[in-house]
Amino acid sequence: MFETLRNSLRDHLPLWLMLTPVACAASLLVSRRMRSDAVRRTVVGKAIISLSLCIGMVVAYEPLKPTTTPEQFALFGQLERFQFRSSFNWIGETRTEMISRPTREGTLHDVEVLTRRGPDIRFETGIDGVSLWFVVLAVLASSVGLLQTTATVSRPSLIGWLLLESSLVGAFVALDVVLFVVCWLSCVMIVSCLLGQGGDSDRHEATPAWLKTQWLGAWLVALGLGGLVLAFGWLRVSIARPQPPLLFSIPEISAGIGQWTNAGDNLYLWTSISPWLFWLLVIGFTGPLMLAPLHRSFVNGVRSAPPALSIVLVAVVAKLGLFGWLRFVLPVFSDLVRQNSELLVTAFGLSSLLAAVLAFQQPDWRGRIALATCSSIGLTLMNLSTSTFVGLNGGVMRLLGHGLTVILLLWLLPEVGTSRTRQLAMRLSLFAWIGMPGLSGFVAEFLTPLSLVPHDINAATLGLATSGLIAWMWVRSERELAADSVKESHEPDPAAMRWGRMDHVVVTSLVALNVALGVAPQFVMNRMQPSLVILLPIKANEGMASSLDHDHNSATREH
Amino acid sequence: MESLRTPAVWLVGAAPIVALMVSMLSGLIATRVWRAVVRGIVIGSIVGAVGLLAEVVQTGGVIASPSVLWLSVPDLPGMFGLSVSWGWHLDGLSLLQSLLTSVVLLLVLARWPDEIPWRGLMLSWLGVSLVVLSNNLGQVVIGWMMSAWVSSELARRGDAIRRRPVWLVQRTTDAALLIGVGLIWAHFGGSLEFSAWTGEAIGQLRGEMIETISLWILIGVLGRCAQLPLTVWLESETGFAARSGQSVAKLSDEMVGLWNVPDGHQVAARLHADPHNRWHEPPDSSVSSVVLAWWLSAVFLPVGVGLLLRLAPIFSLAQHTQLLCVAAGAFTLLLTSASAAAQNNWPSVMAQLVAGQCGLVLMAIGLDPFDAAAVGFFTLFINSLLFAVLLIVKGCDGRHSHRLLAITATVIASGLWGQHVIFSIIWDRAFATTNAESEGAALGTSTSGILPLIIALNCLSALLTSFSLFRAWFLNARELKGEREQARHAAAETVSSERSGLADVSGFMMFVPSVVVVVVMVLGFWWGLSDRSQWFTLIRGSLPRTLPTTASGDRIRSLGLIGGGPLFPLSVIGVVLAAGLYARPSRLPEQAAGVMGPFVRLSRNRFYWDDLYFLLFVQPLTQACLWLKWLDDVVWNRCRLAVHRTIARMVGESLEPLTVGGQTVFALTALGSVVVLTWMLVWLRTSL
Repeated sequence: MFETLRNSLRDHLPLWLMLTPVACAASLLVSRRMRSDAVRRTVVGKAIISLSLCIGMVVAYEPLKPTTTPEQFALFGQLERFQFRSSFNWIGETRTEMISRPTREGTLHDVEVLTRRGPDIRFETGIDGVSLWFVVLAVLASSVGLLQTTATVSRPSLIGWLLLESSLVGAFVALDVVLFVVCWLSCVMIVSCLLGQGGDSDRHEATPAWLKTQWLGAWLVALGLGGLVLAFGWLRVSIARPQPPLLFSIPEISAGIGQWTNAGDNLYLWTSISPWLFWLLVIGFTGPLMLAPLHRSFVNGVRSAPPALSIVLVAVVAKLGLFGWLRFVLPVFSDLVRQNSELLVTAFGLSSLLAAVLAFQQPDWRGRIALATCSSIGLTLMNLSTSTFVGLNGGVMRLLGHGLTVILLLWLLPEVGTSRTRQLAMRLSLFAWIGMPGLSGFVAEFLTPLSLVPHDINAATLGLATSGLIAWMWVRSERELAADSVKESHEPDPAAMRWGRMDHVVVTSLVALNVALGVAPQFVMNRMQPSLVILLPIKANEGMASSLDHDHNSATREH
Repeated sequence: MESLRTPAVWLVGAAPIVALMVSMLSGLIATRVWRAVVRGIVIGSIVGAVGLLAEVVQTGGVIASPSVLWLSVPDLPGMFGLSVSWGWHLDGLSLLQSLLTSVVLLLVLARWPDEIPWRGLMLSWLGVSLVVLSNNLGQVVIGWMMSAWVSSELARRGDAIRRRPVWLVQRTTDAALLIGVGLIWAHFGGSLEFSAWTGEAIGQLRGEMIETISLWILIGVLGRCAQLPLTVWLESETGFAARSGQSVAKLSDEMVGLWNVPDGHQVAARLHADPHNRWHEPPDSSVSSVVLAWWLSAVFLPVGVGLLLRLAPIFSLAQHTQLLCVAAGAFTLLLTSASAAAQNNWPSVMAQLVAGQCGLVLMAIGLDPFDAAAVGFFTLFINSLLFAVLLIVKGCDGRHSHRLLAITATVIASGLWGQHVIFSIIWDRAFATTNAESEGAALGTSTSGILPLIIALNCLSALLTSFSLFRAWFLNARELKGEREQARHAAAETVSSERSGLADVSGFMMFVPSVVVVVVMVLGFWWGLSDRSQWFTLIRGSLPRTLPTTASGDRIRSLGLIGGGPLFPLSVIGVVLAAGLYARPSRLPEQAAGVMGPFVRLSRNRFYWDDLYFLLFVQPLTQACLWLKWLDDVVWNRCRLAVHRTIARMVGESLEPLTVGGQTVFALTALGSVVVLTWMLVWLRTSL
């Protein structure tokens, strides 16, 4: 019994992570007479369960797990990237059909086979080495946000918060195109509602602007992904199967495109279609990132949002587009990314530099954080656009480091300059953002120039100039923490000056995570790298499993 | 010996991190206990380094050490991987650097203020140790950035809002180093290990690439070693900060008086008008500036030089970068010597001269990255300890410390600690026609024409160095004399004399060993150059060479005696000038300054130099940021809104005719959309 329960929990961890907030929201919805302290306990309990499931998932994920069936081996190669897969029929169905097949003697006989009727849209979840860390970040950010906001928001907002967490996790664990789009749109809608309901007096301008950009991007993505599904269907047309069913499974699409476009008519067809789809998805995924000079609605949104929402907005929601890059653009269009890498790297580098320059003159902390986030996302995209393994590692590590740092910074932000412990933690988070050795941001600061130098030394200089400006901006801001003028202008609230137990737990945990990521990044990278290799051009994939396996073994031996 | 090697390796390599962990426990353990433990660890590190040095001298090899993987990106077909591990490369150079760091740290701990925690200092030690003991460039970058960050933080504890260029300069040097390391990684098969720089691998590189790599690394080193044009960070951390016993909270007023910025001058006016632009103010609660200056001067500068020595196989082939290195070192030497001649207190003089002597060593490295560089590093080693003696002596009162100052100043001014040897090498390069092979190998015949200018700069700096040292000594003597006279006239004469006697005793206790140390160091230097000694060979042996040996120890020693020829008289002239102008109060300095005119003011007002930074970097960047923000807020945003308005107006005008019966149209459109979507879903579900 226990074993069955444990196995069902272990085998479907992403699904449980997605459903836990929904269950919590349902319980809050049903028990209307629950008192506020009981609500708080429920939310804290949910956060503990979600974080425990995350830890279990990180521990249980096997980066070098071999594929078990010949079909998987043929499609995905030696390693099983997507693990903990759960799949349920959603739209479309499987039917039994009788088809005639010739025998060796030349006669025909009827065979009963399973065939797909209608589109293969499934409620399918699972994780790979990249989405694993996005899920952890999403659960961490939304849990921290929930803990900060529990005492102050109404019950409907709390339910909205829980649904937001579920949607965020869903977007990262979705292995079906439709589920991904639904979860993304759901995130956008819920964030808009929470922003419109809990934001400050500027929310009437900030919310529609933010929603418009996100909505437009999401629909462009939906269009692009629909086109991709159709194109994949066209590629699989053969004489035997003139009308193959539409496949919406993300792993099959990303792995299958490469196999179906090796040569022949399919290659011609793909070269005609792929640039359109590529740019559609690039614009769709990059637009919602709100890079400079299109940053205004994002900055206004972060400024206007309630503190807890701004944590999720900056740490996770702003990275949904980047996840789209990693999930769709890079694996499916790796050749096109490489062809356009000069253009992309330069554009993202200039955007990042512009955001850093604008952040330099921002008078408020929220504005600086928002623009520094734009800059950080630009640097990440620079890394990803290089299409090198070091660049991909650097990009994802920057995402993670930024997420951990910004959660800590925004948790501490409302009461800057009030207590010494808070100031120390603030300083540490700023140094982590700057990329000081031993803290989370350093790994990316180290890997970024190394990935850009072989690509283009000017791009490397651009990236380093951006990092330098952001560092300088944070150092100036850090000085404000100690300045008397800042203390006076903030008029500290006595209630805010308290450093409660929750502060201790959250800040200590986040500081520990920031230090851990800086001191031992290989723990994260070991889980991430086998999944990153698939994002590279096909040529680099040859022999990658053996290379990773050898490296992993040697690392294990050294340890 | 075999059984002791492993503990010694761990003592040297792991001591900083253990000391850091112990200092982290400062709140849990009794202060006396953890401080004793940390001091014990430092002493253990010194003992371990000495033991390992003895073994390296005997065997002449490198002691292997375990390494722990920190970050690994595997190689893929067509793409380089990356691997950075924590490990120790224990050869003569790294052990000497480690020994120097530990000795200086022990002395710094003796004077460290009780109220300032040791954590920052231990973290800084860890950073420096990571650099000097590293076996790969990844670890060098980590230690480099860590030590710069922590030391900068130590220097500005509790500081309020001020724009100081320290961060800017440090980040610039970090960025330059990172680009250089990136280029090395990209052109040496994706390896950051020192062992990857084989002659064969270097030979496959184009000359331009070697120059580019060397240039980026050199920029990083120039910043770390406070050389022109990146002198400003040391200036701010030690120059201004190093004034013993003086708070610089009243910097604007003080600048007007001490640095001779005239009243009414725009710099003074700006200082009065905008107090936030006081870049160089150390906070009152910061670490004692003398101690910090000591740590920075004695530990940080050799780190940069050590990195350049490690890169000797690449650097030796970059002739233009070598020339740049020589020029930067020479002009820094001149500038800092001139500036030191205008300082009124010992720590300021020391801070200037340390940077200048580092420039001297860079000149040696630029001339010959192997033999002359080894002499240069040895010189820097002795030099750092000599300055440490000077700074520790300055903290003691009494006649004996004053005498010791005189002795040490004489040794430094005489150049016996190695300045003459480096000068001789320059002389040899410039004028020796017989050794054409080595000349061509070092700088090339086309560029060696600059060497006479370098020699002239060296002569001038030798004059200024001795002048500045003895000027400060004479001013100190006058100050002491004044104090004695004041004490004589004071009411509590008895108590004063008792205190003075106690100070004399402590001064005497300090005097004898310090004199012995100075003498031993000077004699040790000359003995170290001889072929009977292994020390010179030890450093030379640590540098993997791509060029054949060009000089032996005896050759360099004989050159040193030649170089003393022109420098000795100049040093004596400097001393005589200082004595004539400052031995007793007179109007001669004012008259001399009047004759020199703007040159004196330029040398005194280092703030002009910082103002130049402000004008070149800070102000343009601030203005650019303001303009871009204005463009973003006003121009771009208004354009965006105007476009939105125009589109909305056009759509509104176009749809205006449809307003009649609009509800019907909207309802029909919505209904039609729902029907189409429903049909599509049904089709998707049932078709195929």
